[in-house]
Amino acid sequence: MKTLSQRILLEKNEQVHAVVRKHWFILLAKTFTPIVLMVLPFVLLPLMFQNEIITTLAEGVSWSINVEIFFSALWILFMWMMIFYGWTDYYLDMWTVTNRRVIAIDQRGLFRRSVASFRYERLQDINIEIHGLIPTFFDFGTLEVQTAGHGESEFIIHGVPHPREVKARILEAADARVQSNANAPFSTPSDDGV
Amino acid sequence: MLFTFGLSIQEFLLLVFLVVFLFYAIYSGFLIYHWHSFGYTKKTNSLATLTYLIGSGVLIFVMAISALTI
Repeated sequence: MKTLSQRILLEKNEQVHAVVRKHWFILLAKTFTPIVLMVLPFVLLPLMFQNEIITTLAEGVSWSINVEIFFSALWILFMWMMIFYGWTDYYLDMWTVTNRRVIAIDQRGLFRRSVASFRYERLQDINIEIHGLIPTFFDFGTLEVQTAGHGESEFIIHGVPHPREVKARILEAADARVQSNANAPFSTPSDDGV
Repeated sequence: MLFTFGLSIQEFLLLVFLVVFLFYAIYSGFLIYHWHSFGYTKKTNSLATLTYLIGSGVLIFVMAISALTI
């Protein structure tokens, strides 16, 4: 089975310049809560037993250590699934910068996914925003690309590592594209791979 | 029998286990399908699948054993 990146059809003479993924801190932030919540049964159940909460609630039920283990494992299983859900969301987001366009793949949850691209000819402006202590310290932020089209549209990616560098690479590729278009006035649609 | 709806505690746990296992199987199927369909490198896809299945497999096994040996 081909992976998605292998299935992205590059045009004739199109070369990949960079692949941009979200910063690792975004993954950490997504998975931190379920990781912390994993230890909850080990803290909560002994406390509940100590204060006789469970024995009062489950009066008449032959409560045993097996029941405790069962529900602890069930809780950890759900947290385990949450961790991988967060990882999937992180792993499947990607921006590919080629010499002609930027392809943005955005995964939101399991059943919502968008693949969009813009050509450098449509590029108008790129803004970066690094907001907060942690993003400043780890050098990641939001990249907003404004493109011309039917009404102005924006491509936004959050948690981009080294956004200034990514901006520079996109602008560099866009400049080269504009330059090559200027040098080749008789280019045809088929040359462009469209 | 406040928690167990007239079932014995073992029957109740086994019922919960069946429902959870069904949900787990469907959810995991979607998750693994996504990695292998949309993931970027085969090595990462396989590693994620293996880690996920081993981790959840151990937990499912623990749940089953604790329900059966009550």
